[in-house]
Amino acid sequence: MQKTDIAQVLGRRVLTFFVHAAGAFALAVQAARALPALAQRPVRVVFYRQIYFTGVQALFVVAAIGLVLGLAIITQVASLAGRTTDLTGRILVWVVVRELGPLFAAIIVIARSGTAVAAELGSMKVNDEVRYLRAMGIPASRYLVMPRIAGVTTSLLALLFFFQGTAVLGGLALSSFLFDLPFRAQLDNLAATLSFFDLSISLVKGLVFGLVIAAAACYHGLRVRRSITEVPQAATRAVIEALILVVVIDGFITLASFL
Amino acid sequence: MTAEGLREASFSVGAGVACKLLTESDLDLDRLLHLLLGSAPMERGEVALFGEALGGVSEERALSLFSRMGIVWSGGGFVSNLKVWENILLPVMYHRGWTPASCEVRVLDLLRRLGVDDDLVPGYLQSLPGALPVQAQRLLGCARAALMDPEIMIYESAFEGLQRDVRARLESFAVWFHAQRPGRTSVYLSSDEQSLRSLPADLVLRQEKGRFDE
Repeated sequence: MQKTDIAQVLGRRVLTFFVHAAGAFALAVQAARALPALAQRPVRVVFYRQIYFTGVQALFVVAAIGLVLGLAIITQVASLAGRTTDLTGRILVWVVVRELGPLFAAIIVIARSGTAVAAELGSMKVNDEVRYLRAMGIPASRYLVMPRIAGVTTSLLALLFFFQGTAVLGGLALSSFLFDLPFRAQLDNLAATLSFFDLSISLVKGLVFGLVIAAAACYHGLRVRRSITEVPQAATRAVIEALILVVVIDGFITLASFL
Repeated sequence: MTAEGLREASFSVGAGVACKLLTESDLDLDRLLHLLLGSAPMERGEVALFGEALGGVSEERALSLFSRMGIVWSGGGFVSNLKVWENILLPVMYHRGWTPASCEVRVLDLLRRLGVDDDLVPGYLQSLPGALPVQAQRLLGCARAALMDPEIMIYESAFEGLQRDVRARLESFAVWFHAQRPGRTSVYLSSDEQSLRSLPADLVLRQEKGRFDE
């Protein structure tokens, strides 16, 4: 392959990525406009179901990963800096609340719900179900897309704080048990370190990540045309693009928060 | 119109008419529905519903016009991740804000008129549509369309591939339902003329070489 060919392929890939990102953004805007439809019972049911699948069903996984992560961080801190209560709280806030919490919660949601939403909508497209809805005067943007985007975003925000809570409190509890660090002193240090700003950054990340993941999943799901083989491809694209966008946006938000 | 077979197609069906619309192939039938629902692009020409050209109205308006129309799909036309009961109630809950309790009697009455066995009804309604036989899906889909009390009822190949007694029940339901609302238009759409032979109709439009002639 010549250099120009590689450049062309790369250029096309990047361009396609931006076209898809713009499409997902347009879908998210459409969904935002359709938010008042949540007052309608059938739409609300879809919203609640999405919260159940994305949020409630992921609680165990999130708790398990949070606990292990919290313990791993505390162990690392204890091995590097000794058994000090000063540093553990600060590092947990810096690492878990600001960075890893939003990122891990987003990755779990991408893996569980991003694929599921893209595959579900893709199958509905292949089976003509989107056309059946349209024939009943029910738009996909209002009945299928908006409640899913709203549900995934709400769930991600809840999971994010649950993950942070589990990682921080679980990590502190385990460290006090394993390394004899006083739980109360660590908690006081943590409370002194944790600021409203840290929580706001976390909130913004959760909100943006949720929108990005759900919009990418819905966009790729609804792009499926007539073939069932397109469904797994749509799910894969949704996951990859959501992952890239989440990592890039995470970098930007982190950078902006330090400026 | 994009479909070759529909390039010269031009016809209208008035209010209150029971019409057999016979296409030359399943492909033309499918394209006709795609054009009606705006899910296929048109090269030229227009499709009008309730006197309004769909090409000239907003998406919101088009959807509002579609909600005044009911389609009985040959495959049931259900959303696969909703139970049949939720599927049947979806349009009336979405457009009219009805509650499940307020629809129950009407749904059961419609299913009785369609000849669905009373003993089978609870099981059918609590199932996902994919678990039911196609004949049952079609009858239940017909109940969903009828529940909206539409001004236009379209039967898409609805009388094809049914057992004789089920077809007779669906035919008598279609005739009864047509008479229930003054001005209601019923369109029996099929590419198989035999499947519609025993249905009474005011108008028969037959596609021949792309044109629809009476």
